[in-house]
Amino acid sequence: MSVESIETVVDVQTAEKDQGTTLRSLAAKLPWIVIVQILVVAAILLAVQLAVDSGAVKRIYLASPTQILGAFPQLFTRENLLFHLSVTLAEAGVGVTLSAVLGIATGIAMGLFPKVHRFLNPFLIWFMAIPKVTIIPLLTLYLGLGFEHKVFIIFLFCYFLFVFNTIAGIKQVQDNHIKVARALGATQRQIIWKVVLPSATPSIVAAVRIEAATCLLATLFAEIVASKAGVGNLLNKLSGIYDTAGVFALVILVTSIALLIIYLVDLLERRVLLKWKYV
Amino acid sequence: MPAFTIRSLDKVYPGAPPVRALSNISFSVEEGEFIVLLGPSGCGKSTLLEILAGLQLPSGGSVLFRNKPIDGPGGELGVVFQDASLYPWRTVAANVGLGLELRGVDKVEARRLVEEQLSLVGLAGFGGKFPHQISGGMKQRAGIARALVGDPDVILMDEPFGAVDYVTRNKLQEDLIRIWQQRRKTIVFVTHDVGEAVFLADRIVLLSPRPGRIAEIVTLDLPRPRQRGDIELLQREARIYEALRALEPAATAIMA
Repeated sequence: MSVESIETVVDVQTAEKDQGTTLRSLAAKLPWIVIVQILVVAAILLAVQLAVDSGAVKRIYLASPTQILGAFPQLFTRENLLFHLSVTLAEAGVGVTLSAVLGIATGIAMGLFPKVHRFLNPFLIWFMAIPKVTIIPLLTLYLGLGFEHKVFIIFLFCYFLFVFNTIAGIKQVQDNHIKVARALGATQRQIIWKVVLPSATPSIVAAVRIEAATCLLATLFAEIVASKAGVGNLLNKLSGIYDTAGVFALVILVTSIALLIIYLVDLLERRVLLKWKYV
Repeated sequence: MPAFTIRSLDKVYPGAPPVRALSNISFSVEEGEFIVLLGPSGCGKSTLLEILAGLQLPSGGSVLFRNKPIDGPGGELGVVFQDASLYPWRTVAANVGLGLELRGVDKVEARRLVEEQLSLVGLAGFGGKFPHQISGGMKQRAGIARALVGDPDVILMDEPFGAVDYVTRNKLQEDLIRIWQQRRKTIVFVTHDVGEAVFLADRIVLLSPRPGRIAEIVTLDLPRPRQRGDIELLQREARIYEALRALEPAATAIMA
């Protein structure tokens, strides 16, 4: 415990030096906050461990940290976790990519052409307003329990934000930026590619950020409702046989994957898409 | 042959009631001349400049660029805007090179031209920075470099130094005169700053407001380089102030 806290203190202080003078006043306080955070987490873990080990809480309701750790190897060997994980990630990946490509394309068309916007807007709002859960039985009927079913549900979850954020981004383009390009003799097409779309990028990236986490939620939701494979399917199975430790292990795994995705999107934003904002 | 020939130009913005921005404007701009359009706000000077740039169309009369009617922005003129209007997602060099890129100039050649232009406006070594990393004065320099990089004979400038501090403005004015003399450009420069107009111009077109009309065209046959605070310069300045005051009797009454 104490060794961990000291390491954290050192990390925070080195990071602090790079931040410059503004945060320096916080430097003295920050390590204590981190220490307390660690203490809180440790206390909760310890309490759960004691509660389960002593039998005060039944194993159906709660699993101890050691039981959860112990559940992981079984997930890989007995439950074929890697297979389920690959199914889930493939569904999420295809679903969100499809949503992004079609959503951004729709948004560009609507943002650039008022007539397209007027025609499509009521349909989009209508579709977006459908509570997804109510049409899942129908979708299962049409598309079965497999891959297409999941991709379609993810699409319903993710498509609209891409559309509307792209439109909002295109509306943000500054008139004087367009004027500059026109004065330099830009064609209509050049103005779209060199001014309008770059102006819309921050807004589109904001959609990517949100959807990166949402697509995983949508996939698991769809899998839990109706599926033959995937992490959501596995979760159903484990909770069905009251394997609480296994369920906790899966939740931790899925959370870690979500965090990893958010981190990767953040990296993509800082290093590639909006690099200019971070220099 | 004059660079611009403007005859009986009118500009009316439709609406209820329609707004008459410019009325019966006639003058010409000679090649190599430094013309300043001077006037209070609402005199349509920026509108006039945008018409010369081809960004707006006149409602009446004719505007010729080298004896041909202007029918849209062609890219052969350099235009510098009020705020530099750099693209925040492009580096300074990429901003300056925008016009070359739009025209499909070879990349190596474009890079060479951009570097050359950056050093001409005093931005050598800043090409890799993004606009938010440089000062307001440097942004204006970049905006000027972007207009100059294609080596246009004619540069149109809309209050380019309005947003920078006094010292920087003086420096930018001197640099502009240096560039103009080195490269023998034709410059049409919009400002509401009398001191700036007198320091820069060969001729000042004084515009009166609502609607914009030509009140007077002042020729400044003063030797260059001009010295700030020079008595003759100050006398001319005082006379133009007087002329400006005469344009707005109502406003002067309130001030007094």
